[in-house]
Amino acid sequence: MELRDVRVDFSGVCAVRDVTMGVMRNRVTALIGPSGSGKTTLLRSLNRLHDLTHGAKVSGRITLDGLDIYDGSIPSLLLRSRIGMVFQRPNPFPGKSIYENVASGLVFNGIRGKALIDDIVEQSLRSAVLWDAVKDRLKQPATDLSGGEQQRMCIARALAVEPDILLMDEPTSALDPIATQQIEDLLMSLKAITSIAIVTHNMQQAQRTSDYCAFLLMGEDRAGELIEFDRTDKVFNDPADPRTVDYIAGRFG
Amino acid sequence: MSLRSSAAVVPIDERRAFIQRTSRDGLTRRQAYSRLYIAGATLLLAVCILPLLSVFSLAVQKGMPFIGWRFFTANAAIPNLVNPDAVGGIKTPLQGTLSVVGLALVISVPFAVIIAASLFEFRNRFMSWLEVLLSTVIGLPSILFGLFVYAIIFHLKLAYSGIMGSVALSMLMVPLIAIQSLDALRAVPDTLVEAGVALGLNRFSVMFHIILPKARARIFTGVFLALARAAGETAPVLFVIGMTNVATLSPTSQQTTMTTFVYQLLQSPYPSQRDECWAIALVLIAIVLLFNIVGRTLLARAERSK
Ligand SMILES: Nc1ncnc2c1ncn2[C@@H]1O[C@H](COP(=O)(O)OP(=O)(O)O)[C@@H](O)[C@H]1O
Ligand SMILES: [Mg+2]
Repeated sequence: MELRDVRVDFSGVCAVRDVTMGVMRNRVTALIGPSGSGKTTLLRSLNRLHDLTHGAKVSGRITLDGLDIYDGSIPSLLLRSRIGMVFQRPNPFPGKSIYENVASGLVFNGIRGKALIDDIVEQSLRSAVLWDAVKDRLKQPATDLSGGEQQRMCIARALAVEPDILLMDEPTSALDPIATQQIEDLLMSLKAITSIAIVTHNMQQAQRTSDYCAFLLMGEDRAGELIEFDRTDKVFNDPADPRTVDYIAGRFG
Repeated sequence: MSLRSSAAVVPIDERRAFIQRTSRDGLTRRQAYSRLYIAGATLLLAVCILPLLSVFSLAVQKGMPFIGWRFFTANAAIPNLVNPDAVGGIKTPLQGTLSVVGLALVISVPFAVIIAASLFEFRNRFMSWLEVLLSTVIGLPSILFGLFVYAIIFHLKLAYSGIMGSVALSMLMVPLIAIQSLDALRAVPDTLVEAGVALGLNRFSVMFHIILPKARARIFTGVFLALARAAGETAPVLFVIGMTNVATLSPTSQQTTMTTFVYQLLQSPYPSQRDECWAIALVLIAIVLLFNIVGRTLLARAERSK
């Protein structure tokens, strides 16, 4: 996925701009920066979630496999079934069981066949390292799971439709350290089957988990800007911009 | 079982291709459903809006010619055989509505807020019954309040007056404002309340210094929506406020409000008076709209500053 001069405005007020970067295949790309720097806003432009927000406008060019995702060459329904998303707080569908939650993307996308769906549900839960914990209670409400389990279930739900890209917005910020650790380990193995863009404000997390790293910062006029995008080891060990040096050294943000 | 095991050996990319293909193949159908849904929603919307629009346009068409400074400041003129087109103004009913609804407001707000605060503070079976009762009262036909007050007047041998109308309207407004206020109080985040309690504030102080200020905008919203409702009501006041041809703000004298005036005019044999009803309707629409807009603006502001 390629981004060129991407900019998002809310009712004419710029939230983030000048973003030129990529989300690499089978790699983890981290978006870091202080809060308010537009990380969430940028992430949500990648699956056209801003379509739901009145007054939001995305400009610039975002392509998936060379196709502009905003010019109509990919219907947004199709786009979103190819790009999964995991949110800051676990958001299991209420009133649905664990199984139904994980299967929901498949069912809504018209996949039929109990055996096939059973199999995909199992594999997705395995990929999310949740299978052993829930295999005997798949019919129980998803809301009965603990926070960390719910979040891994949400990851399984996103994985079930085999997305090309998985977007994650601070997926561990509502979790305890152990659950966080589990999700971080999970990222490593998920790389094999999908590409990941993850927002985090935890720099150690970015350093531990990502291959590429984009650093955003609020400009003078409070609009977020991309300061630096490079390989993670380069950004952390040999940053090109003095502001990145300051941020990593913890001097602001 | 056979499909299951065979699916397990399908390489991951192949299955991804399958899922994406299925998803793409179903796209036309899903988009068609989506369009159908939007078309259906639009149709239903039109069915709802058309009658409203036609009432509104009729009110503008027939009522607009009457509207002018004189219309608001002149007394009613009585048409007769010699001068069948005499049309006066609505000074009397305008002041009547102002007086009756204004007093109803003064009566209802303290009651409603105290009820809401009690419902919020004391959680027991009696209180939850009271809450259900209040919500039920909101749905009652408003003529019942009129009948109730009428019965009181009859039994206690009281006189028709503006106050009686205000009392009847209060019975309508109190539950509306109380329920909305209760929602407002409950929307105040627990963390704020806890912060206050942790500072050693008592329940009264927490309510008056923390919860109520935070909930204020939403409570005002409820007040304005209730005002909008009350200003447009006829039934509760019709039997209890009497009638007057002299403009007065006094709550103890008999009153004519905008809505009861329309009721009188509709029974007139003169077409000019019946047309005048549309002008009054237009003014009523404007008043109700204004209260609604104010209420909703307040609510939107409250939501934004959250
Ligand atoms: N729906 C919205 N409407 C208006 N402004 C928004 C909206 N979402 C985000 N913003 C603004 O965009 C800026 C960036 O926010 P966000 O992307 O959430 O930052 P981050 O995730 O880096 O903390 C903020 O200044 C915020 O006020
Ligand atoms: Mg964010």
